[in-house]
Amino acid sequence: MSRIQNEPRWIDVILSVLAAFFGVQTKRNHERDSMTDSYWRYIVIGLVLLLAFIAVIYLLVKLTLAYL
Amino acid sequence: MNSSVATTHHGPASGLSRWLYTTNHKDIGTLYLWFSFVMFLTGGCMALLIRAELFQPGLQLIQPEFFNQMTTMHGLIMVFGAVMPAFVGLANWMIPMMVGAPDMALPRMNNWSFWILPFAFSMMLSTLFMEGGAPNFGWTFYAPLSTTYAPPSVTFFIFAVHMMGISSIMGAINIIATILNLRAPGMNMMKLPLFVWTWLITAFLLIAVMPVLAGVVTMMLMDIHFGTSFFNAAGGGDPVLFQHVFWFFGHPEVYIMILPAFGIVSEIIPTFARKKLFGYPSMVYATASIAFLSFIVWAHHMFTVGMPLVGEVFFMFATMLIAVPTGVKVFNWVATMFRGSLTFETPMLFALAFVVLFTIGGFSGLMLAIAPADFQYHDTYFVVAHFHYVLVPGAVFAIMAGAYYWLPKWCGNYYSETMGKVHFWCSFIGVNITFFPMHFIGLAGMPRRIPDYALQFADFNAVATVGAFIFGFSQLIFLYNVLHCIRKGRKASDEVWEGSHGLEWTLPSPAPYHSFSEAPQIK
Amino acid sequence: MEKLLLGVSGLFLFSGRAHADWTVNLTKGVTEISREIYDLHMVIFWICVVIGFIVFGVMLWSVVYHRKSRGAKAHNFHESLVVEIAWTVVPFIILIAMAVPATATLIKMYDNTEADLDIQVTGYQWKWRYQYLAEDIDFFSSLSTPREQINNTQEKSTDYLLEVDNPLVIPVGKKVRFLLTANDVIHSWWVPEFAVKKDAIPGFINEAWVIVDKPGVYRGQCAELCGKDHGFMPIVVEVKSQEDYEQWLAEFKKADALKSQAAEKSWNLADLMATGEQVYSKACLACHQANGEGVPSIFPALKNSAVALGDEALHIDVVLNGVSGTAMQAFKDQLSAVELAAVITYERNAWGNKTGDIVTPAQIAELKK
Repeated sequence: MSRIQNEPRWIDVILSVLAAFFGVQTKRNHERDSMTDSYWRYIVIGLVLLLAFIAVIYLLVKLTLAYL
Repeated sequence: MNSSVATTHHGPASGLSRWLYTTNHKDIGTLYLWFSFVMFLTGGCMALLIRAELFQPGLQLIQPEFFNQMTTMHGLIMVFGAVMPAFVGLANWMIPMMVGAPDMALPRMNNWSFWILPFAFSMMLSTLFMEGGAPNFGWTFYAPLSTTYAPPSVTFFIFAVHMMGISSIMGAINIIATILNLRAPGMNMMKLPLFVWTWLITAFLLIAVMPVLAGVVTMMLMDIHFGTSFFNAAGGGDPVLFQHVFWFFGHPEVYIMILPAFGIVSEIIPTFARKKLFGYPSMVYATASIAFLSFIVWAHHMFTVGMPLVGEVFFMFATMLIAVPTGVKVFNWVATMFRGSLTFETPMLFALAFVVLFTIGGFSGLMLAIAPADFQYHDTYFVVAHFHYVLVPGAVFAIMAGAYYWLPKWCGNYYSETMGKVHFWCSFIGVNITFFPMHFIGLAGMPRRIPDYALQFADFNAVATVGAFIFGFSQLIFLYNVLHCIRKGRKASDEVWEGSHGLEWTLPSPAPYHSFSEAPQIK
Repeated sequence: MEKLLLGVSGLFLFSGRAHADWTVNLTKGVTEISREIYDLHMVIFWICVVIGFIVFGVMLWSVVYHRKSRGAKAHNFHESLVVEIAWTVVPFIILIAMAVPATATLIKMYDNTEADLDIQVTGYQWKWRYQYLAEDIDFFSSLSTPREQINNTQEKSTDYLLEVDNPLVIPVGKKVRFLLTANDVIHSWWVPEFAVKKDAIPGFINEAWVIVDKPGVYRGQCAELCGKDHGFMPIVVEVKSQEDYEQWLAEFKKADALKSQAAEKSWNLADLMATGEQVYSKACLACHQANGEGVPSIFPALKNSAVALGDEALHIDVVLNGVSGTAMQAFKDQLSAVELAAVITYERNAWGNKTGDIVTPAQIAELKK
């Protein structure tokens, strides 16, 4: 199979990382992710989304405290 | 045990030097496993002493200062001496065989990372004989009890923790290097067995948090000997800082002790259900998810220290979220069994007990996550019940399951199935008699780490002590079974189990001293 | 060996069951917050039971019906996106449903405003100090269970290990705010029936509050490992009606005045030794031991020690002001002038420390000013 064709796009990487946060992933996407050589994109997106995730929980907390 | 069957051009050296100088992943794995078993029995004896003292109200056998030394040493030995080395031992044995590598990537470092441990633990245990006694401040060693008010032996404890940390970090580096670089052609990340995946993620956790532990004990050392005041309020320091730093290490640490267990169980259940693991990709992603979340939940151990409201709510939400990926794992194991073709050999029994009892530990964990309720649960026997359910029938049962599962591959012989089942049932019953009543005494209001208690807690404490002795002594059956298996067990076939799957089962039983010297082809 | 035999026989003789029961659940308690917490506890408990019932039910079903010995053939499914998303989303929704009431309760617990009464609670190794900030009331509260009961040579009382010499007294129906701190290591003040558990941390002041509905006696314990006698520092709170509370206040103040008068009386060696022995067993024995020999490397001996045999002024200074950086506390505020004089005299004359020195209460009262 051709590597170039299968190389995941940035949006795919983001979706994969989100799937990792969620804990559910399809076999097809997992296969595509495992074929790639560029792990660093997953790590960067992972870290960025982790920070975003912390910010989201923090906002959620602020909102809950404001309205409860 | 491998010497008689070495099939390649050179086998192991003979005598003591084989074990001292070995760079063979199987020898080092064996060393790790025996070491952890010795530590398991040592820490177990301490636990029995604790339980014996708690059998009845009043002080009978030991005095409070020694009781505190026992709870501290029991915790430290079980965490750093029994559970973690056992997982590293299993990783050493199995990861190269599972990914089709001839050995670990860094064999000399592998030797070193093992041989540090006996010295670290000798130093730690020697504190028991020092004037002033062993560390007596609990395995969480909260400052200032562990600094200003600690016995002089605390310095040796700090040094021992540093050595264990170095050993763990080297072990983790080795595992990552092996998994990322030494996979056989065609063994891409998606085909990795789940045990390898969980260990890869665990190894990253180890590298991330062991330096934090090293940092916190170094800060203690500075406070004790070099006049700093990191944790001393009188000098402008902050005792709560200690807890934040400690639990930033401590919470990922509890996942370090459970993720490889998830991996082992995910290997065993499909084998004995004769069915592929349900939702393999999700299992991998859920493991990653748990690992990420483990870094942002640490302060749920500290709900009562007086954090601001925002902090309490943040850590409550984040902690509750962990239940989701953990739930995914349990559901996947159950779905793997569903409509399978099940048999119940000893490894499967331990794995099934793991799923049920770990889930019970998970439930009490979920209850503990509810911050207002945690004000009632915190530092009571309810917490003791919770983490023992996750660590004993959780991590320890998974290790036992793994040992029975791979033992025939390691030494070429089957263990005695009857004895294995007796061991299982004694352990299963013992564990539940010991730890289930602890939920009740915790809810009724008994604080943890006390050598004597009010009369209303007497009955359940007596029950728990009986259970502890059943569980403790049934481990001797395991020891006998393993020795029996090595020396005169029934000859095992290469695939060992009817439903076995994976590269390790393509090797002969016992696995030759050097395996996969030429990389296998993965289709 | 003899000691062991004694211990074992004590085990059977005095394994008192006066109060033993098989309590299995959390207390509902006597405050609004404690009842809310109890409800949260029960809700999450039943959620766990239901989930457990389903998961273990399916598992048990497989174990019974899908076993090879029954001729079960393994099916080949191993993926289903729909099912997996479902069992991720459903727990998520349950958790959100749980988080809302939990947060609401937490907000109430953190509302420390508008207290009727402020009490500072200070943890010491191994006793509690209560200071009523508006009144001139300041006292220590320590375990009153006799050593003999702990060592199994005497039958255990009903409130074994949950009884103190001076309980905390608060009025019913009033918002009482506790300001918690500690003198040495971290302690944690916990009374289950109030659902108040808050760490007492040196250098920090934590807040907690309670409005108790019902007069009564409520018992708790220190919940954070604080050293050797962590298991022996209970908390007893007497909740009284407003009149009874005021009467208690008046009586307390009267007794306090009597104590300072006692310092002016003249004391002889025998009286001081007798009082000193009592004070010693209450305040010093836990560390320095009954025989005055201490615990090597942790707690120094008093018998034949340089301090107890040497300069009187130094000895007084150590007892009154403590030794910083060690477990030796400052007893200046913990004990009355009479008690201090008696215990110092006792230490200088007991266990063969025959200095013959008498430290008088008047001498100490002067220093305490």
